[in-house]
Amino acid sequence: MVVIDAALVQKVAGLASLELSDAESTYALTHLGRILDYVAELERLPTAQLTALADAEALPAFERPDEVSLSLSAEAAMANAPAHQATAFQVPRIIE
Amino acid sequence: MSDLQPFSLTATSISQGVRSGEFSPREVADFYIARTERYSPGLNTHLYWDRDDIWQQVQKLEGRLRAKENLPLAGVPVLIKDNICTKGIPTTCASKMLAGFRPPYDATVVERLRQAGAVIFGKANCDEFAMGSSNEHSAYGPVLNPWNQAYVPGGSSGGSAAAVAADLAPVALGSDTGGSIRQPASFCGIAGMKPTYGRISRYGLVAYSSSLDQIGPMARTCADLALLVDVLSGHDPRDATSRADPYPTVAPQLTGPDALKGMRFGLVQEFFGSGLAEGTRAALTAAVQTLRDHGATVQEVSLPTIPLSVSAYYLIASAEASANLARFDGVRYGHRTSKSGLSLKQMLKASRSEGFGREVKQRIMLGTFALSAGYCDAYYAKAAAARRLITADFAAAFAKVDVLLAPNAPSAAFRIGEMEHDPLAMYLGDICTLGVNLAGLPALSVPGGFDPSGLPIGLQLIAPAWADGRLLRAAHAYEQAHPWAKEKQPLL
Repeated sequence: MVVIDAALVQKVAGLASLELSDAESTYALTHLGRILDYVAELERLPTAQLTALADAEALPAFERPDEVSLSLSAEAAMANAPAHQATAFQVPRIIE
Repeated sequence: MSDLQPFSLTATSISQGVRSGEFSPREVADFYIARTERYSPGLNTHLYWDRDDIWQQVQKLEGRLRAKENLPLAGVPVLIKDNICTKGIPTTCASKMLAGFRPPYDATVVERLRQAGAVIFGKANCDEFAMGSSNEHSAYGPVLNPWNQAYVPGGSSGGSAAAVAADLAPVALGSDTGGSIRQPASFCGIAGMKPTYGRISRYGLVAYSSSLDQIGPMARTCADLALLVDVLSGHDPRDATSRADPYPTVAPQLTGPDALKGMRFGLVQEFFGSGLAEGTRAALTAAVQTLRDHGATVQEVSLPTIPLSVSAYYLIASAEASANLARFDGVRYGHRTSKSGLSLKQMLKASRSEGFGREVKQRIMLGTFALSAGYCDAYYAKAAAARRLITADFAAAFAKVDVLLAPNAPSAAFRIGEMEHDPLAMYLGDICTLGVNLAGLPALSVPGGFDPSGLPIGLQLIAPAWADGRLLRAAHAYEQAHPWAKEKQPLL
């Protein structure tokens, strides 16, 4: 069983690209710990012989022809961008 | 001109009435606009509402009626959960992250509704990104249960459920990732269905957990559920999980109470332990008697691994959510921080941290942890293996019975704020609905009575994959045998 501490909470927040306030970190420490304690019941599951099932059993795989089809216009794709120039999304400078 | 009365119309009767000329689409729209404007603000059911847009839709519909187009949903108002994209109409997922976002396209289900003659009647409040069981996790405030406004309507499709229960629309769309249609339908005394995974396209549904998400209808009758399922079903090349080969429509399979004769029901014994509220237990016991009185057989069945569904679901759903919600980066759409002088990475982190609410962050954190190096085998892989066991348990049960019978939740609706500070307790309350999503099965909630305080209780029926018609036939037969929804309406 994993022990959740403040350092692990910060590490996971970093992986998730989140910044947590002190209150959010405390909340995560408490509740993430409780949830992980609960799901530890799965550790006792005899699953060595089982293949993991990533999708529902009923799910068949449907494929479509790999053909070019119509998509959004550049104008429509840009319409909700917080910042853009012509047909490019604008982001902070990434090369110093 | 007809005198339309509250709680008297269904999608089926509206469509028939409009096509036969008994009443006009304008009368129907006027009736529901008046009810929505009167009751929606108090219940907080709607996140977007535009009278002018509705009148424009009605005007176009009148032309299509004159042209004698085939319109199975002629003039039917449909409220859309706010995690389903509507072209040019705000779609926020009840999150600050998507405030002001106007999708450049309609979801396939919205396209099909419009094609069938429905009138899109606004966007319904829900839990943020469909993550919640009470509708308390909306960035725009909680929805109130029309039966008692101190209580939650359930979630995450709480706005859709409360609006249909209050007759602000005859039908609505919800989405069900772990019970988000069935549980609020149960709490609000209406019918709600999660079809078989792959039956209805999810193109345009903002993804939460892609291997579990399913769009479905919410209504006051099973006939309306069937009507919508048939309009919405069918292959969509834009959703790789949508079934491509033909399968039967469901509406013709609805008959009446006689359909119960000889039908074999299985009572899932794991849901009838000490955690089940007495009011819910009594309602289910009475329902079993009704089924038997109409010639059905009911036996106890066991799903031995179903207690693992809470752990399996919250690990799998959170893991998929952590990947799906990575797209919200403040670049292409969605919230971007107003802080200046940040690097790209700092901007991304600040935007996500400002845009997402607490429950969404919590689930992203859980999912990120479950997929992280060193923990993936112990958590995510175990959950995926548990999913296989749960799916096998359902298959074994369906070798003995035609339809499973279960509660949708351990109790009727709970008070607003009652579980706010205990997310684990809220998660555990989902135990009755999660297994269905893990196994990809069709299931629905149909009104099944009231608890001693007068809050509605739904019966959950579950069928094998692609037996959606059988599921609806059984629920419709029970509804005809005991039409609870006709007995009482919420007092607004």
